[in-house]
Amino acid sequence: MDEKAKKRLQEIEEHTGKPFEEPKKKEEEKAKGKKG
Amino acid sequence: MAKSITGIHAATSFADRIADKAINNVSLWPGATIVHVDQAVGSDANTGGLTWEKPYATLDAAIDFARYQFGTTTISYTDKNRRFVVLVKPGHYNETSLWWSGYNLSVIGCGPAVPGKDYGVSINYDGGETSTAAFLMSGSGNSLENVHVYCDAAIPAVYLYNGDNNLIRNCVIEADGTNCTYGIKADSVKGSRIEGNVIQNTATAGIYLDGGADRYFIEGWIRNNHIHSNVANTTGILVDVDMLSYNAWIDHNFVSLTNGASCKGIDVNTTSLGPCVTDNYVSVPSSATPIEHAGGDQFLMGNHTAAGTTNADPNPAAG
Repeated sequence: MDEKAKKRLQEIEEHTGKPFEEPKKKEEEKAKGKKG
Repeated sequence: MAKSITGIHAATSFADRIADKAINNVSLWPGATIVHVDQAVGSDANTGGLTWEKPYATLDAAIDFARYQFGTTTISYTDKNRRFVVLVKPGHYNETSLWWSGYNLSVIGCGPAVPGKDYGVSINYDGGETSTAAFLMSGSGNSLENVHVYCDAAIPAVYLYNGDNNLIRNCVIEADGTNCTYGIKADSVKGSRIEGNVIQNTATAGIYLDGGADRYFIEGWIRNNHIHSNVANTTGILVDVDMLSYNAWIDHNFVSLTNGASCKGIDVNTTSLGPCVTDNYVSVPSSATPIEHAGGDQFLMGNHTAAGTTNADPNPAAG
């Protein structure tokens, strides 16, 4: 991820006040949870 | 100071076309500050993008300007007393990291009333975006309207990330039929509307409302969207189990899925007080499920469903 992309996500985190969840990562975690 | 939309009906020929868009219910309001974007002749050195003669070249620069505190280059996350409209001239906008958060900002394509890949504003035309989403907006009072969005990576094409009172309207979202997961993924649809969009060939779902803590589908709707996919065993509209919902509607959508007995046309997994699923036309392959609602059949009204050659009109859906 380049510097601009990191900056964009950082801005979103600043505004929402919480860590940004990447959609791909989040879905992988959900899938793991279901399997478990 | 950027110019106002006031008096647009008496303006030049291109502005007349914009006035036509106002007739088509695109979000133009008197008093909004307009920022112009034209990838063909624009320059990001044109601070403010105040006119079509001096537009920005990129959406990125225009969206930044529209979020700055007045007279600064610092993005404001608190000023809600503002209204910016970013007007975008037709063309291919191959920008990455189009992810932003802010208030009361509309991004509106100025192409034809029906956006097409080569006939209007096309975002991520060449499919250069590979992470997060082709277009992400967060915050409140924002809209994305009248644009084409292409996506060929395993990400959502459009991501509505948190916030409320947002609008995605009259967009054509084209997935590659292999990788792109969702046409529109939304984490919160509180007072928000997803309406009049065409979504094609997504792998997982056309529209996905993703649940979790503090996620709501309330006071809003998913209305009049056309969703088609020939990807195996996909879903048209999917509402997650953890999405709290009441006073919300999924209505008048056309969903056509053509491949696989595990397709689901509309799949609502939340058991809260909604959403109401009414007056949709849903077509899925034989043995697939046209409509399923975990909240029960009382939330299903007047839908027409077809599973293979088995037609039901209205409303005999699995609860």
